[in-house]
Amino acid sequence: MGEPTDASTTSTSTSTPTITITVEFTGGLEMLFDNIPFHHVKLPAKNTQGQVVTIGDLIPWLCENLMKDTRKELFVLDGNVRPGILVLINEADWELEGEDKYELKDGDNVLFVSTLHGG
Amino acid sequence: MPSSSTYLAVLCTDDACPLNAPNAAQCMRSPSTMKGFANDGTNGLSAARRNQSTTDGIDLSSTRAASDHSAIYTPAPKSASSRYNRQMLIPSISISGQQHICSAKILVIGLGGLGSPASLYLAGAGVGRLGLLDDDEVELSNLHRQVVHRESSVHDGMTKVQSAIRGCRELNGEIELVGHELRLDVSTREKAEEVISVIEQYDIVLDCTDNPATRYLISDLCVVLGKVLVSGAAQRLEGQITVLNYLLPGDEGRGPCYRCVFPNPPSPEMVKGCGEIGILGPVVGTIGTLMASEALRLVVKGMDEVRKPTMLLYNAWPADPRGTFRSIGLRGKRADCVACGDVDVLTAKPLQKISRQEILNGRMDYATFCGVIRDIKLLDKEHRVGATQFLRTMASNSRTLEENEVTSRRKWLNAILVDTREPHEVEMGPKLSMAVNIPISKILRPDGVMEVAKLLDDGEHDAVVFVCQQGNDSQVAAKKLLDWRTQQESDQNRANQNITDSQPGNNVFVGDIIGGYAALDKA
Ligand SMILES: [Zn+2]
Ligand SMILES: [Zn+2]
Repeated sequence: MGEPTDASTTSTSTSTPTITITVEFTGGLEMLFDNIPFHHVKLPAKNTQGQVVTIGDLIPWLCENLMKDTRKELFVLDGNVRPGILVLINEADWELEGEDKYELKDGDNVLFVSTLHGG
Repeated sequence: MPSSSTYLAVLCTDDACPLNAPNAAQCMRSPSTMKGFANDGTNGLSAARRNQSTTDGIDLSSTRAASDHSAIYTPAPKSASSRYNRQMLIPSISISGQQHICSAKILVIGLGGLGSPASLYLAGAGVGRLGLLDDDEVELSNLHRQVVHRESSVHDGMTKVQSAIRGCRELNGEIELVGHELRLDVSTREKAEEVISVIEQYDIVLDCTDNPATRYLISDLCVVLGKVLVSGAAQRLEGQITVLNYLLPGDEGRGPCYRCVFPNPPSPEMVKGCGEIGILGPVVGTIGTLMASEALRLVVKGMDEVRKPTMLLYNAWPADPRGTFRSIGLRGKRADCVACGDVDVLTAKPLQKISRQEILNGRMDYATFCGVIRDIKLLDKEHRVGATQFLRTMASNSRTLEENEVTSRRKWLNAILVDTREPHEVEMGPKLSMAVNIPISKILRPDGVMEVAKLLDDGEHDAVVFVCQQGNDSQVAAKKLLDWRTQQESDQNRANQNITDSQPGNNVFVGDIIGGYAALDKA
């Protein structure tokens, strides 16, 4: 387990407003992200279409910018988060928050929980 | 034993006590009352069994026979100072809570790392009927975490059910322990009937199993049979626990179920057992203990206590110490859940709701639903090397080999051997002396394959053979190297450049050892 990391988009210029959120991975998902479970992530506040950045925008962003493993399919399948992975926004299931349409705010915490099976 | 005289104040039961007994510890006549837990002179251990005035295993009779002043004085009930006294002192349990516990019927499915502490604590708490279900035998590698079993269970070749019954019986001889040596298999009507008839005998089910297929099956059975499900899981240093299919307020029925939370199973590649990825004993023990605690809460507070669906996450070694425990809010019941959803919503989709009848008809195929990890086949036959063949060839002087053997194996005789297991797996596993360790996690990173290609820079090798534990990762690695080579070639053809040193050309054999170290071990 390493220290929290800082990641930001390379395209971020001083004029583009950004938000900083925390992204966490548990249940073994951290293995796909350099074994680091806790990340500070700086994102442009608007997506490429000029709309407020959503969780739906975050997921491909994570694949491209934060994921170290090449096995993207272990995190994303057909554009969606893989079955067996819970997505929590500020510790509540994202389905309570509008799923991928949830608009990210500065300071949000996004937690990805992989189901465990051992016993 | 208690040292508090306040607690002991009711214990003296000897009418002839010269001290007139404010405290049994001071009793001159019956010092034996100090030895046991009970105050009825029976030493407590089987008070409830011997006493005919038992209701649901709880003794409500008075601590002594009616006496002259019985009109105005009622001694404490015997049960208050029974073996369960310490949990009955908790105001929200008290006598009525203990009565509920003593009449509860709880089934523990899976007597491993979760089921061990769960069954021990439930037995200790006095659960009236405790069902113990498993189809496995105790092994030495279980003992670091499966605390209900003993070394002697391994030596005597006991089943987990036999061993767990012994462990729970030694802890509490007063409860009913029912063993079910049974595999949770509903593939035929006969098997499904047996499984259903077992689960029907209980009110609460603890899922202490270790694979997704069984977890979906248990959840579906709990839904169709109307049982509350306490679901726990753990691996490595993390655990999760949630209560499912509990009664919702009003006439909302029950929910959510396991399928509401996880409508689709995880990919089989992501599912690995404790035998592969490891588990720390206290971590799985913590979750199993929490499961017992949740079951007792349900028994005492009722199955319909209004709650929001939550899941408790436990991380034994978190990056942030505040993250050891965290509770996350789960979504509620899914209207279109095929197990617990709304019939009208499902019919409109159209989907058929899972029913008891459908399970009985053997129509539910959980193994197919969850997928099975089959041995992957990424490489063609000519890229694969047999384990026996490899060991025999490498161990022998090439002069002792038949000429035709040398010819057929020439392509990999001068190979670099790359072991793709993770370092800790190499440390704990068998080794090949000539192997270079480049873990699969490294090879799968962007440019990770360069690490392998670099090994060929010395020009002394004309082949790369990968080896891993089972022969799956080795194929993944070999495929990656082959794909990379193809890519490089096409890039270079386009750029019309010369082949660089660190690029394995077509003359370099790339392959793997079939079945990995598991096969080498048997070769
Ligand atoms: Zn006395
Ligand atoms: Zn459901």
